[in-house]
Amino acid sequence: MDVRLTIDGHEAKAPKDMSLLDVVRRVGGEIPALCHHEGIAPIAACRLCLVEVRRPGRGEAVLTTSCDYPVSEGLEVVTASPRIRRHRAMNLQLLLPYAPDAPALHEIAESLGVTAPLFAPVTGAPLPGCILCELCVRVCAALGYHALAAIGRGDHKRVGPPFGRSVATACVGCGACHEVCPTGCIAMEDTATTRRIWGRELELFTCRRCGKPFTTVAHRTVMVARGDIPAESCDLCETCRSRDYARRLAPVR
Amino acid sequence: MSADRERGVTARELRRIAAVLARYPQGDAGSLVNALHDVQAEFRYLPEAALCEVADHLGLPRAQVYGVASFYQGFHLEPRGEHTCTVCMGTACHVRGAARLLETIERDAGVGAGGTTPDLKLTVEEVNCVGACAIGPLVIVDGEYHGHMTADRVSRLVAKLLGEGASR
Repeated sequence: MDVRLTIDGHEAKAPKDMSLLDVVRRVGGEIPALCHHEGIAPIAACRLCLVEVRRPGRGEAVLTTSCDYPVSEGLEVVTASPRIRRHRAMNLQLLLPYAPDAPALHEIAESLGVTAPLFAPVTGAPLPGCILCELCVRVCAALGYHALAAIGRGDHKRVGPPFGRSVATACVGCGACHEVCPTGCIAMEDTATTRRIWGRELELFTCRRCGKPFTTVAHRTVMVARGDIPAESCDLCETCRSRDYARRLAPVR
Repeated sequence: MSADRERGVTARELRRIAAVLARYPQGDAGSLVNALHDVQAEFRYLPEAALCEVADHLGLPRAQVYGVASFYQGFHLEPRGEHTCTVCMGTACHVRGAARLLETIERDAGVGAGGTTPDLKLTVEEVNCVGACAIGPLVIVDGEYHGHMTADRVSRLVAKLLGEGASR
């Protein structure tokens, strides 16, 4: 069921309970966020996606995170105001010391006019550059591997392999965590034949046609076993696969 | 099972875990924290094997169960002593010499705060404030509050806990 809402004075329509952040981005609005992924349930960790919302019949607009705010009928949303800017800037300043070198943070800092972090860069973190958005943990769980955990609480909190290990034993080396990490702090290293990630060294699988490695043997084995995609598609790299599709589609034209 | 041997768990321990888990329906994810409390009551801490059994029984990912267990201060992932000695480090206790008390206990027991003696007799802990400031400095032994503590008295207490009382 669709609901109608106003975003910065413009009318918009969206499915009820969809994430407000996704709705705003869909209509072309810009809201910064580091811990959000459209395919994964939000946890509102980075606090950068703040907006002002007013529900019909309720008095003042309240400041809230948009990623975990479900849209409803008659919602009035403001995505930019001095108040929003001030709070986003403060939250970003609190994140900056944890990832002082991350381009994604600097990009947002520039847009918010933030020039300096609130305190000195954090040293000795278990995973340098990590801002604890937990996207890696959540994407790994969403893909069904559960190789990573959010461990501890408060200033001892960290992400990594569970049970105090230095190696993520359940990791298949799909590289999704490396891909979604907003600060690029998850190391993934490919040599000619192996991939190193989370303390594991996994054999790479090469494309049956062009011989280019495109994932790990362990990851491919899971993909084939799950049967989500045809087994023969698991043998080819993305380039060779799309070439196949193009060839199949050519006569249609 | 070789996987169980790897985790250092005996068949007897597995039976103890199974007995605790029998109280909860399979796949009842909402019982996680309760189940962890019950397992901890059995072992005084949460062994890795137990966390895995709890996860499998309740149908939760093991990594998630570990995340929950590591989140709460009330859950322990390392073996705990038969006795627990907790020193209040709140402001009132601090100005009355709590640091000296802790030092004495650490020296007598031979372990630092948060540690457990190798014979699993005693775990030493600090706490930030228990609200009993009027009787500080305060040491809590196995849940019993000992107010107006002195280094001498705490030394005798620790000796008793370590089972050295009789020989002196």
